[in-house]
Amino acid sequence: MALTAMMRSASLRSVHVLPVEIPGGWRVRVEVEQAVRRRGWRLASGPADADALVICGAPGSEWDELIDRVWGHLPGPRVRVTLANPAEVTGGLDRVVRELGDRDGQSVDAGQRRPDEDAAAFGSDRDTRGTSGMDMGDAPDGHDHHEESHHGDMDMGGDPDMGDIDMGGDPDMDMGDMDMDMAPSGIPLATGADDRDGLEMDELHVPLGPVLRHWPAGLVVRCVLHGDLVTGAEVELLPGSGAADAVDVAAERAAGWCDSAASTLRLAGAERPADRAVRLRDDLLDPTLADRPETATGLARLARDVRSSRVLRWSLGGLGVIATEVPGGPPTGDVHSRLCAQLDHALGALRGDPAPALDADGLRDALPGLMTGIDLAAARLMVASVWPPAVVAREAAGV
Amino acid sequence: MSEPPTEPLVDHALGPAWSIALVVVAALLALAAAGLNGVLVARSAGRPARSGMVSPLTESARLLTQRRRRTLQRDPILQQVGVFGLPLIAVLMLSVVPLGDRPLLDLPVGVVWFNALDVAVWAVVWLAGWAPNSAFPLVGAYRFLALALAYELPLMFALSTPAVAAGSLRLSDIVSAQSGGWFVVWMPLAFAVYLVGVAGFAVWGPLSAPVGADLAGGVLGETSGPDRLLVLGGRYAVLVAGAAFTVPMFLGGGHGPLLPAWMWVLVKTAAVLAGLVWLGRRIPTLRPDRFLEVGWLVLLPITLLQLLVVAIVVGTGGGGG
Repeated sequence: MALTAMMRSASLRSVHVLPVEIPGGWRVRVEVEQAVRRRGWRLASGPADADALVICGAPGSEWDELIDRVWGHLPGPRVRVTLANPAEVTGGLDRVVRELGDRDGQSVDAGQRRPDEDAAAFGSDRDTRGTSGMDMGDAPDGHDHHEESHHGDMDMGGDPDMGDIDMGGDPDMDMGDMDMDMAPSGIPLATGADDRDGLEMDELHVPLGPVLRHWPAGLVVRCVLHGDLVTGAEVELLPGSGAADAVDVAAERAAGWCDSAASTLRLAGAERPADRAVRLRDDLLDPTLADRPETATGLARLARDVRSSRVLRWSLGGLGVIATEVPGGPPTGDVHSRLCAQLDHALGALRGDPAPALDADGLRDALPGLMTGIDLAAARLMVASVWPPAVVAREAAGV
Repeated sequence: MSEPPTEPLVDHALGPAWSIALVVVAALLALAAAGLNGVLVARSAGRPARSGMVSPLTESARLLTQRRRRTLQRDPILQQVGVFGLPLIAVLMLSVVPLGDRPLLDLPVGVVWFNALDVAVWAVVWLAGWAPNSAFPLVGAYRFLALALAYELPLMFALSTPAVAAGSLRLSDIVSAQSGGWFVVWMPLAFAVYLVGVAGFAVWGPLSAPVGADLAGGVLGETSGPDRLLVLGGRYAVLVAGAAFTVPMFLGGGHGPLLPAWMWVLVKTAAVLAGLVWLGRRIPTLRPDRFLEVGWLVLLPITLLQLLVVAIVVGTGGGGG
């Protein structure tokens, strides 16, 4: 018993928190991340790694089912809290500790979970915006419109844009009548099992977001994957009903760009520069530190280091190239140049430069074309490098 | 019966009774490596360094009290292979490393034994990613295979270089061949490529894309509780085994002044392990498709070149062999 108690108290010292950012909840999420760091806790990589599901912002009813599903993926002991504004963070995380340490409460929770709860949550997950855990099982629940598109005739196949935008340049990417001998974009299919319609391929329907780390708030991209190659994507933006706090300081805009750059760096596997970007973000949001010259020079130094890093340039250069410039659309160049631009925008915001023009709808419409034909890692880097920070997008929308 | 009668297998080995001590020391080294990594991570993130140092203990406690995740239509048996595989492989790798002057098992083909085990990691990591029946872990598993295709052949040639120099695949023979000088001095490229291979089969640092953040944990994405502890601990254990294997292969085994041989083995292992952990934090994760170019166009040619140089030196009568 003493051993169990000891283990329990030790485990409470490194609680793993999975933050779910609702649009409008950017400051709450940042606040949660800072508190997690101060407490010596960790941010979870996904639901299976999490003890606490922390909803940052005020989700509308369209989030209910989604959050319930992710909740079902937490292994337990588990706690969920919703934090509508930054002032609630400290109290909310204290409650996490209390409830995680509450043995009786946790056994009640465990007892109430059906033995197949994970599995059930999982089976219906395929067509949802899900979590990191996307099963490939075949549990039919086909009432959702998306379910109908599981095999063969993709509803996206009917979309006249789809075949044409794909970056691989293969004119026959239209999934509706994909020839089974064909290798899309010259890359052989990863799996060749017979589909129900006799198509010799497995199409994996994997939703990305909105509960996904290093991913824009409220964004859902329903991907069709062959192996790890994205062959189709459908974009949806979930709304948040949280009252966004007004952006009044340049520093917050700069912090937003730092946060975006940190996500891109994190996805690129560059942990140390990502940590620096996060710490700069936090300094920028702290009124006592934001105006210090050290913050600006730190930012400039990070931008310089990232720009001159050979490994990053080699790894991200030439990846996810956007050649044609659209006013307000996605920034051109490759992932590395866009990453550098994110840090430059942060510097620019700090200097008081006007925010770059943004066309949120145009970006959303362009996203499927940008993500199709590249692998999952590249697609995620693409999203992270083209998507503007929430604060900047809100400002551009004139909210 | 090609064995010389003067060197029977049993006399040269420590015997199975020592295996418990071996497991304990390996576990302590794995904990130390995890603690060092924790400190580096905490310092970089701006967390209290103490939280990083004790992180292996708090994380272990946390994972032991956490429940297992069960995904739909998973393959429970193969999943267990993925979970228990890494720690088991680490112990089997360590059993041929001379601890002091004698290993647990003095196999005449110790180098091949190690190589076979590092290839077995392919199956283990693949199954860990495949068995949960989930997309991100599966993609992570594919990534591992892609990386393995790039690091495995260079690793094999790097492993055979000291064996060629010593004229034996037995670890204790390779150690004795270094009484005049460590192999790392005249085969540094093989040593460097070998360390890349260690990062590969430990899914570590620059070669950790299979458990990448962009896949929400990748191969580990559906693993929780004690299973996760075994996989994470197994990664560190394999890292320890990889570090320990450099000692007889490149760093002169137990040779060294003042300290007893077993102490030298421990010190050298710890130093290589710390280097691996530290370097792993500093180098960004490499994209598997880019690393394939490196593996085949850079690592493979330089290991072959290294092997050629060593073979010429040995053939003309120089070197340690």
